[in-house]
Amino acid sequence: MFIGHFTERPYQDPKASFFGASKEELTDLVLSNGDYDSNIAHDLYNRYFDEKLFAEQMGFDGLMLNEHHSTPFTMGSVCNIEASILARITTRAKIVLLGNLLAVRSDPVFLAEELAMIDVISKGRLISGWVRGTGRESLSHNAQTPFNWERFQEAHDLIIKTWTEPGPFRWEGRHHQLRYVNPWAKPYQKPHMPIWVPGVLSYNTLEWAARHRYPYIMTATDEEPTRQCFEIYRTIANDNGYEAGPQNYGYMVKLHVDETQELAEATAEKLLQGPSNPFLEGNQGTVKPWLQALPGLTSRTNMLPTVSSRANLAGRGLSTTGFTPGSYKDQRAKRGIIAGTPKAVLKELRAALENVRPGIIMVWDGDGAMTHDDSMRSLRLMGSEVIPMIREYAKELDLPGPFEVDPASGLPLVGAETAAK
Amino acid sequence: MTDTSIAPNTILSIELASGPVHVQTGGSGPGLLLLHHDVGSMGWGAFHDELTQHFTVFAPDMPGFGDSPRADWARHPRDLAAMMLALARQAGLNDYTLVGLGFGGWVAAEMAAFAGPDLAAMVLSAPAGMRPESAFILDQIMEEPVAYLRAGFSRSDVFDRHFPDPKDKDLRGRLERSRETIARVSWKPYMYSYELPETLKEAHVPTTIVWGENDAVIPSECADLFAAALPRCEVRRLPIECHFIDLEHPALLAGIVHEAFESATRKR
Repeated sequence: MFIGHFTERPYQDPKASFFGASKEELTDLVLSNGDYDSNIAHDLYNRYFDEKLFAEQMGFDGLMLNEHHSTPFTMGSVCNIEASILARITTRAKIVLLGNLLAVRSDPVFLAEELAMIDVISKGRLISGWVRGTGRESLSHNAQTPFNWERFQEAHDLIIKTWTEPGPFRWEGRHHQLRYVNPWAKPYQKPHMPIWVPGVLSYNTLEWAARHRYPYIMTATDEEPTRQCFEIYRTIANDNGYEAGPQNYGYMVKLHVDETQELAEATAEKLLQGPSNPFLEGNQGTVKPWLQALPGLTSRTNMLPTVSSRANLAGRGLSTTGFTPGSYKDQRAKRGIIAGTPKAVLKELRAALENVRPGIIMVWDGDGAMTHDDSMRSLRLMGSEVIPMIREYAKELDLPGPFEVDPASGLPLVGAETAAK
Repeated sequence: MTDTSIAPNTILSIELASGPVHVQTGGSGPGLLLLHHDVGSMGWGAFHDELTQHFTVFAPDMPGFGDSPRADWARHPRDLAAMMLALARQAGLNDYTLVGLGFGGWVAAEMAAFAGPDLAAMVLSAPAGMRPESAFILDQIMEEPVAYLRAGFSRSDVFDRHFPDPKDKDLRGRLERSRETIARVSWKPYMYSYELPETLKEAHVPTTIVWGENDAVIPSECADLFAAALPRCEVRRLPIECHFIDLEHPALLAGIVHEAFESATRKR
């Protein structure tokens, strides 16, 4: 089992109208960066680094970063800068990027260089992950949306070649043409760093990940459709000549541990506060649909079973839990948010592991309006009481992570490292 | 063209190497090729009927708009222009008048830069293609599709008459399809070309540029930029306030087209 830690690194400004208890929702792609306070941002960046360092001390296998642009809900717009700092200040944990925006980068070789440098500086601790991005990301860097998927795939092929074949070589693709590819930075890991692919709704992305034998990480999706998506992955794997298992499946869950059940519940509710985030169920804010779904960006018809949960959120009425879709109570009832004392959290987490059967768990905590103290209390208890038990459960339930069993072959990895504790 | 009259809104499918092109045609007399706005063709309407009084009208859905399949390889309005020149040849158009509306005006201008002497006259109504200096072209990528459509009208009653149900699924689908084609051929620079002012210097077709005041979609200052580039250009500024002149003032625009053709014919 591979256990990672994640937060979106929200820009928390208690004075801002959109923050915390004000309940004023953000409309995506409307807020001006004229409201950006560099002093607040300075403190927050460093707070989040402190928390990542502590997460490593507490035994997390991976420190996950992500990338969004032009929004206060994620401060890590250039997450490779954060990753390169983590490469220097941490010593053991994997640095997990889920992920870089392949289709938005105008020069994939630049990205290949950055990632290779991070892998070398960290002595082979980088896990590279790639995403297609939403309308926000395409607009922020003016990437032509109808060619997003083609650009994603071509950039992938170019980067893999850059990492694995001796240069110099010439690249004449449909979207990228380069006369001289020969960067003086190659991955520390051979043939290259592991690649994981996060996803939520797109069938194409899941299918692509399965065909390439890359672990697929479902980010905060409901358990049952997540399980169904992993079944789809398994079928595609079979069709492509290999057996997929838990080592191919990642599951991100919002989880907060605290000293008492009451404190845990009260703190976990802060997940749904702070700057609105279209990806944070219960605190989505408002999006402009025509910008979120820019022309040709994604298929509107080829969707995963997770789309049913999104439809519930968008609709009216009650969830199957009997609560308002996306509300804290709704998410607690369906284990979208797990909160409590270590004992209570472990009970719920065990049920989720039995149901979804992932080999990668990403714990999403410290987000929304949570304070540094909130995060540190949870991290401490994760380290002392929760993580050791998750590893026991993983052994008992036979949930190997991708550093114990090779996701590409299904064969045990000899000399499996830290994750196989 | 010929003296044979074609019934209004007769549908043709003209086969190009890039695929079939859906064409609405009708009228009698000299040939006229009409290229639609960036929101696609809004169907056979009053403007078409006015034009058929003097012309045999060919109004294609350019590839990727309306009922014409997209040419996936196309990346620039110049690519559409190449296909429209091929279409004019296939349709047997000689000495024809080329009319371009908004984005279609840009495509027409690109055609004119490459066209031979068989182009008799060109009329561009609030064409895209030039980079305005003091304002921006309204960006349909950033606008809600129906709001963008509405911005081209000055009179809400005319908009309502053309689009009684803006939530209509078919309309939404057509707008989305047009929007994607625009995103493929004019993502950036958006709706202009740095090369067009240069290539138009050798476009010797007599051209009339028509513009209303306070066009909310494409700034009317672009009229002067076209006039500066085109060797034989007349600008007609109209005391009206809309982008879709063809939809709000069809008879007025059709009359200008006819005058432009007559004038060009007299000077030959």
